[in-house]
Amino acid sequence: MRNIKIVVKKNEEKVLPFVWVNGDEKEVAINARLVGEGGNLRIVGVFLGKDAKSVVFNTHVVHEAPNTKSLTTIRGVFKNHASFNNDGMVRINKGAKNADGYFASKILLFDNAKGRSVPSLEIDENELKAGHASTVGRPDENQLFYLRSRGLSEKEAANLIVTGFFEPVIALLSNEDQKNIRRKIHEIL
Amino acid sequence: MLVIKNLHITTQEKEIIKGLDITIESGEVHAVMGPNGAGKTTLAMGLMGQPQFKIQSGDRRTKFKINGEDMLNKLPEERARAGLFVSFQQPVEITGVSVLSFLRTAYKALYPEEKVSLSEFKEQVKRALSTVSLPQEFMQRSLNEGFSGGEKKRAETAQLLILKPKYAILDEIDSGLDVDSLRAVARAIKQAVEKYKIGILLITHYQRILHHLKPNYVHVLIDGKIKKSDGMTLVEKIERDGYAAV
Repeated sequence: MRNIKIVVKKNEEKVLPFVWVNGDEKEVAINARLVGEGGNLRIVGVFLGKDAKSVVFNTHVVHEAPNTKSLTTIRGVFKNHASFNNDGMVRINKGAKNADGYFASKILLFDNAKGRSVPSLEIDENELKAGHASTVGRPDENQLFYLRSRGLSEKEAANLIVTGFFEPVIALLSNEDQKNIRRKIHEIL
Repeated sequence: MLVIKNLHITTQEKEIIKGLDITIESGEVHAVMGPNGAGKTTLAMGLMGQPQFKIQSGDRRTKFKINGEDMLNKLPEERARAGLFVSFQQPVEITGVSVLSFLRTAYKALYPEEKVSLSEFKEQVKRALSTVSLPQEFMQRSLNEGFSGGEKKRAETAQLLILKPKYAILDEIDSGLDVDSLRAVARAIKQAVEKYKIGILLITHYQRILHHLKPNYVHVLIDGKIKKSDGMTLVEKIERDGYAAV
């Protein structure tokens, strides 16, 4: 198991991209602490798995100081028999006034792939903002038919939908990371 | 020529189209009018091959051909590549896929042999958008995402001019359009017919668009069958006396 530790200090802004494209890592945990006032952390997880690959990805974000902000965004696409298992924790300690923590995940499953993404919040402070949104779903039949009616094969249609599905989170990253991720996704599709 | 003979379409195990014949030549406009529930959308979706609308192909008299090529039992993408197009009443939204990259992907799927440079292709898209009075920024927007109802219909029509099918089924392309949008959509369809000789099957509830397009034939679809075919005089009759009088 790989454990990634990250500490965000006073007024620091950090972006942590984590990209897993049919990766060999089976279990990854991110432990993040926002220890200084005004710290800002963005975690972006991009997952694309096929065949029988599987990955467990857990995020644990702790707000320890006031006015800290965190946003965890995960997009995952799994095909064939691949599987994804995710727990996303946002914890806001007492004293982390006006903290703002958010977790969002969207998982798209094809074929017999399996996916689970469960966010949770632990809150010990009264003045704060926190939230989460998670969806695990299958490709939209209407989207597939629409694209096929324009000449795309079922596979081409699915690939276009998948490419688009990742775009909004890829756009959060640096230009160089964007290029690399698009290339990696393109290779595997 | 688009040839449809003895067409039967079922959905949810119910027969909706019950033996329909229609033949469309290149550059012809055929209007199909009919009351709610007559089977208009079933006809459009069934011809395109939407999995929930099944053409019954067991009867040997049943024919569905595009320029001689049999379309029965073909996949939607195979029908598209043979030259068929359908506009959707509710075109789907696809996040993260720009109008331009969608059109480019579709064009390559339809015309794998043709080499059109990206800049040349962009020019074509620009021109088509301007024909339907959509700003060219639409090219970079996610497909149909956040488009108003009118913008979606205009975008569907613009696709006709870019993808240049041989035959297009336009399913209520005029519903919910204001005067300006209607004029823009009609202008684009006219161009599709005159410039690219696309044969049109126009499904509509209203005579407004027909006054712009002047169809060669008007068909009245009632209970899954063409009850009557004629010219524009039929439209006036329907407007005056209703479908019951046909």
